[in-house]
Amino acid sequence: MGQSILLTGATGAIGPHLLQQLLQDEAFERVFVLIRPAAQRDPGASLHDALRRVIEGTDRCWPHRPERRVIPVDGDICREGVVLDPDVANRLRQDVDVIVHAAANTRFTAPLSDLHAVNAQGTRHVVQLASHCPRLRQLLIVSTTCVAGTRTGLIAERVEVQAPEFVNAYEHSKWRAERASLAADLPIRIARLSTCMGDGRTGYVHRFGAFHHSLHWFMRGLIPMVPAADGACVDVIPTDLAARWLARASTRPLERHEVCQVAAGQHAVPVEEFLNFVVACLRARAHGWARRQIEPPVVVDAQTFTLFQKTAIQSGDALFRRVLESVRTFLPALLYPKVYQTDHAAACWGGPLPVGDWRSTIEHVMDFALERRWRSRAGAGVHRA
Amino acid sequence: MSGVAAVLPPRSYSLDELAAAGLLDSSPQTLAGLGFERAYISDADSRPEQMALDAARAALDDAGLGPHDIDAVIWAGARTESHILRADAASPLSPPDVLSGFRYASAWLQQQLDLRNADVMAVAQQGCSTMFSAVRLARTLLIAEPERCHHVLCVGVDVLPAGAPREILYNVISDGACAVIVSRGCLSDVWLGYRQISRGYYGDPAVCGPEIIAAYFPVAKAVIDQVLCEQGLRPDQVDVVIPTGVSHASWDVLLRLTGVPSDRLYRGVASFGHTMTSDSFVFLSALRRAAHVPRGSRLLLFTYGFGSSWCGLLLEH
Repeated sequence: MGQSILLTGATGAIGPHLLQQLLQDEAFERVFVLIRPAAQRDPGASLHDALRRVIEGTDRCWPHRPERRVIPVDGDICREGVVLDPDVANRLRQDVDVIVHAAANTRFTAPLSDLHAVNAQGTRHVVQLASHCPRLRQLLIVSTTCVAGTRTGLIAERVEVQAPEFVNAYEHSKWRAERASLAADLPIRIARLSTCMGDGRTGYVHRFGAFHHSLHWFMRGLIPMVPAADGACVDVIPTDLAARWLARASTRPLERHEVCQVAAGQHAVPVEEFLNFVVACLRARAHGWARRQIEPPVVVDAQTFTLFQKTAIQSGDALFRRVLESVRTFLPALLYPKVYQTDHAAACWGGPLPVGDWRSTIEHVMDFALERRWRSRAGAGVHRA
Repeated sequence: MSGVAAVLPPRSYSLDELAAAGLLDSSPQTLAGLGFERAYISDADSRPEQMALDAARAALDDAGLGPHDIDAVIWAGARTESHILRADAASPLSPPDVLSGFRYASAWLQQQLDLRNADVMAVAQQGCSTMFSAVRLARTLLIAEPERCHHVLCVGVDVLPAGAPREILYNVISDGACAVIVSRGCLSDVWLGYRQISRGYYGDPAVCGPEIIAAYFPVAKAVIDQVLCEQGLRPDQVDVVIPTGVSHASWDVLLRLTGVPSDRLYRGVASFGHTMTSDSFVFLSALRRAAHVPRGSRLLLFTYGFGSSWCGLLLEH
């Protein structure tokens, strides 16, 4: 009997990339994909659509007969037991060798209660499901480097006992998810992904997130200031690296618990260098951008940014207010300069992480976003399975 | 600058009064939080042309000059209507036709003040930075025509129509007028440098509101950085920053951005709102009268005007 894997979050930002990679690698004979029935009337169709768009968008080849290997499963991580049909749940428990939990609510501005319900409580439910799978070799939990919160300096690949201060509720909810999962006596690997820009070769972005919205607002000249500490860097990776790493990690043996940071680490880019490159990209690409002569954002300290926010939010302009309320949930992370350790991630990969040329990825992502007019078909917001 | 003067209407209204009259979009509390207290509004007894005339007379007094000493007049108004005399101030014989659009306020001023030796011209289409360009052109005239031009009178005035909203982009708007005489060889408030950045992309404030708010600070910083750099000055070598009447909080942000110490901001005038063309000269006139800023101090004036133009002017007091 071949190996089976269960994937949650298959229609999210990373999930379709990972599904494509899993199907391409053929390490698993069957790929169970958890899908919320409420999310789509025809879960199978939505999954197929997500897979098709990723394959076309990233210019990859179709895997051999995916319909025979991909098995949609009705479920919801927010419900205890996760899988809705008892018979399906039973089969899954007997068959599954690896679970990759990628479902999450990634809306930084979402209420804390919603984020905890999906990210922390949802992860608990997946861990419970995993604990009933006798063949389980690994529960691979997709987390985020953001769980470091306001810590500075070298960020180790371990779960800290003490919670740091967090920049937003999303970070907090993911930290709680990590803590909860490591309480289980299971082979659990936590993959903290850095910010995923888009496909490194084509710039394809399945679902625009905070990073892409920032680029869009940046292009419109709606981000006049970026709060950042001296020495702060932007840590970004291509999405395909994240997907390839997760697919490879799902086949790697694991003793008990491991935390891996899939990040640029020492190769992260200084903030000003990053901003200057984005400006150069926009001037070369965006129609009329050079003529508008939009000034690049000014890099400022925390106090100046706070003063500016106060002034601007008091101004009451609806669009500007929305932009500010959104960016203040993540840009202040740059006030806490840090470097992510990537030793575990590299060891799991089998060598240094191929983070690639961030400039080239940004250029591709810009081209993609401009062509799509900054709209991803999948829409924004909550995505979980 | 040999003479500087500013005139506000005698009648002012509190934020609560303005709100009760339906002249504000934001709440009085919000606007108070931005540093606004009241708006000065002209009435039949303080018509714009009269305020301009009063400001010009006061500037002549300040400079110790007579009307016949003035070689050129530059009229400045942010609003198109500021350049045309209102019907009730014009000759009753003026026909109510297209010719009424040529009843220029600058001509009326020349006549009223008997500026018989002055060439008359005007500056427009720069919003609240119009007066800065008038002063810049005045200096240019002195340089370009050394034999003919010795004293140039710049007069700015802006008044909103009766009943118009008194809030524009979260600024409380007052009516007001100012006058500046730029004189050759004058040793007070000497021109050191000027920088202007104009961005036509932001030309329609009704459409580009959020973009203008966002662009304001980065471009303002660029202007101030450049005007200081061109004079080889560090931000901490600015002795006094002459503000405008826009939100107090925005000045705190701008000073932090540019590195000019916050204690350099001149606060010698109680909040009077934003008078469009006249703000900076309301403050400068007060500073000159107060006479507590040492001679030789470096004054930085900055303003933004719809259009959009950001202007920085550096003076030696």
